[in-house]
Amino acid sequence: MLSHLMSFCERIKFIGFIGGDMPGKDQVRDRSTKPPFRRRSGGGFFFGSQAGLIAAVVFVAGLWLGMVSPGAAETVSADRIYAEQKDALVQVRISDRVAGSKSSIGSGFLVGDQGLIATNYHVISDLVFHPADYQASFFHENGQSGSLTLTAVDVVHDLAVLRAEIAPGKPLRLARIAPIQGEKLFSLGNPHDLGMTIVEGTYNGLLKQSLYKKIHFTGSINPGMSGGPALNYQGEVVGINVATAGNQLSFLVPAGYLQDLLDTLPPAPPGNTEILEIIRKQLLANQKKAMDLLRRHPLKTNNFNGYQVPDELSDFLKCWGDREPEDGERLYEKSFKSCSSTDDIYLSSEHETGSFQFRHEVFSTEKMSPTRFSHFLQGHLNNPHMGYGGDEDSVSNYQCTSDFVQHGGTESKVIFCLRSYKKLDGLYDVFLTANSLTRSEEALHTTLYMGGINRENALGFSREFLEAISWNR
Amino acid sequence: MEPVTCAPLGYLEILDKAGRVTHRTPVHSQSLRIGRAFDNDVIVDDPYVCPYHGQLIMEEGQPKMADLQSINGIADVSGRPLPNSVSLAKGHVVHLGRTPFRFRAMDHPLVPTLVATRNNPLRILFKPLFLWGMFLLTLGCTLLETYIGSTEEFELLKQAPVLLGVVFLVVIWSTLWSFASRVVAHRWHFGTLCGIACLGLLFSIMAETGTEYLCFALALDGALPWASHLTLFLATGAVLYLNLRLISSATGALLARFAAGIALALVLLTWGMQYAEQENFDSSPVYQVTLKAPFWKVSGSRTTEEFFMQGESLFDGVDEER
Repeated sequence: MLSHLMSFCERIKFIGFIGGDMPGKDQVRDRSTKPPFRRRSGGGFFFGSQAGLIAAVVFVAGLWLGMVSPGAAETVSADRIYAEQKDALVQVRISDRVAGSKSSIGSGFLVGDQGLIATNYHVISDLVFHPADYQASFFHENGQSGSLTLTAVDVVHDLAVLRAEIAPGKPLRLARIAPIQGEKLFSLGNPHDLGMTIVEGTYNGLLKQSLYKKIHFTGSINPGMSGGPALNYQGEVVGINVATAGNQLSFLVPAGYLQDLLDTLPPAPPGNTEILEIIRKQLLANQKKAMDLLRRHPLKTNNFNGYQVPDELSDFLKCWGDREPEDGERLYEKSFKSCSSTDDIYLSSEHETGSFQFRHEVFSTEKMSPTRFSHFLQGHLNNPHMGYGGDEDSVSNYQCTSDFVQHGGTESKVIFCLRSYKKLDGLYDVFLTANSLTRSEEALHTTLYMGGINRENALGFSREFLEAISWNR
Repeated sequence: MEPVTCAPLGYLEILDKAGRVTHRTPVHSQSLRIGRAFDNDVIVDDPYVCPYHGQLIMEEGQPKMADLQSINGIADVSGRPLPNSVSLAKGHVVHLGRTPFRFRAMDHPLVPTLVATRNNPLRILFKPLFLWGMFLLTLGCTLLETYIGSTEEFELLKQAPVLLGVVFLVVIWSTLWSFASRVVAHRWHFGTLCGIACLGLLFSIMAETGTEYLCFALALDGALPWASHLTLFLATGAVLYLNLRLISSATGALLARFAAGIALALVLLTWGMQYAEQENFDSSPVYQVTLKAPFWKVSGSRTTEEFFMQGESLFDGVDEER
């Protein structure tokens, strides 16, 4: 179960993040009374006449007999949507300035006016972290192409807006009303550089247990479609393709976040230093939002095998646990409880941030001597199981300190490590691990990881987290 | 009537390849014949020496070695042929066949008498019981280390590869040194060398384990790498010193300096490699801490406030890397 969940989270991490200024629940309910496909496919007129009644009976009979496909009308709609909106679609290419060849591709669409093209931040991240090496350009199916200038980014929601010198088509409108669950959406993009494609899928609401809103889209989004629009029947952008977990499980950035970005466009394209500063501020705001939710006093704790430990600190964390009893060969018993966020933020192909996760493990033994058991725990303590990539250009090495610490009426061996972001001043990744020293035949092993937080929260939350751990017996 | 005795004119010494005297013949007459034949004055058991190979002649009180038309003649210490008649004054060493000879006059100064140390601890190294004890103790310690490191039911049979590995290591190391000993000192010393190797291994295991417990008890995990270097220096230095002492005739002080130099070089090399590794980028935290049973803890604990004040100093370190 754990591995399944973990791999699920990993895949989400890779593909994207969502959120934004979406309509509230009331608007969703209003909208649900008039789903677009119902309006188009019938109405009072259709059922108000005798002929209509006969036609309806024939239609239902046809369905039973399998002679009429229920998707026939929708197929026509997909054709129409594609034909009407394809002019707004472009392929976004990132190419190496020296070699001239494309290094990565994604999709994008015209939005607003003045040749603005929206896509995912992760499609164009090389422009931010390696501006001297890469350049961006668009390619339209009508043969038009041109260079792009990065105008705005939202790394938290994985969005970017670029400006083209000429607009190759007509821009798309952003939807102002959220779809209802079950409504058909059409995702467009250029999968695997095979050409523009339209994919029909279903809106399945917003993800729960997430710091930001993300649309759950049941449809096949494939690599290369990132940054493409997902449209409703009116051809309005409901979301932006961002992630897939396979098996038609895909995710969209709600269009509201794109609207926010467009509303705050700077008058002139910012330089690279300014973009890094914008990203830094977005990450600082993101960690503040997460920490405001987490640092509620006192931290919520639960009993875990005789220890009081922080648990289910906020709704945006996913938690699970399990127990591995002693068996014929293993001489110790292990129980664990684990919580993690799914709102990881893509910064570059080497570096993700924004993750928050912690894990409590209780090991106990009746068959091992204290010397043998502590040797096992020492090996476990010296093997940090959490980490979040990063490369030499983006983060420093970790530096650590360790000591015996008294907390919550118990005593632990504690290790505290952190590393800094080289290009984003004031942001750190923090790693805290502690092993209780209460009993010789039992130990609580706790690990906390926080990615992309400021100095105050790094120290403050780590301390609160440690102080919240106590021994009940 | 008392036998007539006359004081010898000097001594003809036969040396081994390390320069140590193996045999000493007093020179009473004006000449001594040397060879493999049993009617010589000095009989040499060397297949490269002729039955009547050479003759020591005293001419006006000065020793000379003359060749008796032998096949291999007279040579110097590096094997180069010498004339048929060579002076042996001033302690010159000549080779007949592959055997070194040296003449010592009666007035040659003697080295000071060494004080016998009956309790010399190094003598124990040559006791077979000690050697076997070291060997078994090393295997026992290795087994104990494996037992402590396992988290499954311990089966002795499954540990055979580990024990064989230790045996293999000791035997290979000792064999190499044995060859060196055979060449330099004409003796194999294999058992003694095995004992010394086991002693080194034992010391390493026990020092590392002891250091870990000490570092845990006193909350001195930062000292672990240094303690590890010190252990390496002491173990390597001691093993090298004892091995060299066994096969070389050089003075103890010289050998100690040489062994310490080699051990220090090894420690510096290890330290350099570790330093280079630390400088390499690693996306995971890298640390080494000790964790033992709670009752071993001696040092006091910090409060969370004190600990995170200590943690605050890390920010300056990681910011410097930016």
